Amino acid sequence: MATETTTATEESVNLRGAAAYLPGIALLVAVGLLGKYTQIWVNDFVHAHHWRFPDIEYVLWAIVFGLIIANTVGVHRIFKPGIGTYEFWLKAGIVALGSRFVLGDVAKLGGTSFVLILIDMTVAGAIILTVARLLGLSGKLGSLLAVGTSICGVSAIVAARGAIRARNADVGYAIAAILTLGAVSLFTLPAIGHGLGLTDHEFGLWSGLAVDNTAETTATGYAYSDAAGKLAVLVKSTRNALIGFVVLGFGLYWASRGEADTIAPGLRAKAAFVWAKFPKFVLGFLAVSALATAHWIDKAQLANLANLSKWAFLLTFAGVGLNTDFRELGRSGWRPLAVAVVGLVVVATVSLGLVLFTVRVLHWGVVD
Amino acid sequence: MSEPGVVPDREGSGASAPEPSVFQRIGVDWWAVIVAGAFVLLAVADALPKIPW
Repeated sequence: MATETTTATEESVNLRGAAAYLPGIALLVAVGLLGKYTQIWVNDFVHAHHWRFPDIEYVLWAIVFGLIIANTVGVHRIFKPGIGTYEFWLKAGIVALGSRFVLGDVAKLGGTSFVLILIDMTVAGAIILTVARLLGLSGKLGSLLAVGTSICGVSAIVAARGAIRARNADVGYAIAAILTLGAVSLFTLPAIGHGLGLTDHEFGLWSGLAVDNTAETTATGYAYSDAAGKLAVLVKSTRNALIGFVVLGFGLYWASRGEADTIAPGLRAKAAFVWAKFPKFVLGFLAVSALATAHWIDKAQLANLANLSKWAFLLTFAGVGLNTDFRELGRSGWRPLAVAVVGLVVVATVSLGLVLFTVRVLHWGVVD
Repeated sequence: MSEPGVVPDREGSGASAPEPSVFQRIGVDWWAVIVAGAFVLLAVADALPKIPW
């Protein structure tokens, strides 16, 4: 009897737990749909009145509506758990997107991206650490900003937090800076890309390398075109796969200075550490890509999965806007923000140079 | 990317945090693979209904 009562209570708690996500998910759907249909309504209106107005993608509309809500009336706490699921929708969308790639292209593009990422990471990481030191930031905040800006955004910062024993205030600030600058870059990069006449391939590579957080990377790519969005996701997933190695490197550095616990002593433990930080959804992406490569999914169903992926991304984009609060940045002064801005500009410039050189001069990784 | 839980904890976690549920232990990455994988399996079986955009 006691067991039955306990089980019933647990079920009730779980139900309440699941129900807690519903208001936020409903808000994501509402903001996403508003963004999607605003693009259609605006385009119809502009055509009907023969006006000249840029075709703003649903991605940007959804994010703008989310930003307006988050930075004006604010998001009530009953919506927070559901809005937090945007990371789940993002990753589920990426797994489904695997059906749009054949493994040969993944290997080719992933290989090119890998080389570009290593160069980008080294150059940009060194510059960010130097600027952070010049502006007198703590070494650990500098490390967090370098990890977040040059490598993999929020997830990398969260992963690095424990490894380098960073202060919570530094972690919170670094995350706020990455999210805010990501929101800025998803408006500026497409405009620069159009201004420079970049192809979808070039822009996809660039946004995959330059934008810090996976959700913002995906949004930036799709704000340019579907083809650019697909490629941006692939490049960013390659970047994400490197999180474990980079965090391990920073962890070992701070441990060698006696300012963090020694992490993962021994090769086996180090391998386990890297695996623990490895983004598992990348495996799902590759598995789905393998099924598509083996022609186990027919053309109509491939189209269904592509649309499923776009719906999942739509909820993600709404969540990006609703989760970005510019006011959080004002709380830590201008110095960390200056480092993050320098980081963004450096990463964007270095990666654009790399993309143009490798694509236009070396013709690397170009998939027809 | 593989941190358990749906969203990263912005303020850090306290020492007396409650034990994570099964949902949290599995982690958002694997949940994404499981849910999207179910749709992919339906697509492989040609049982996924038409999804418009």
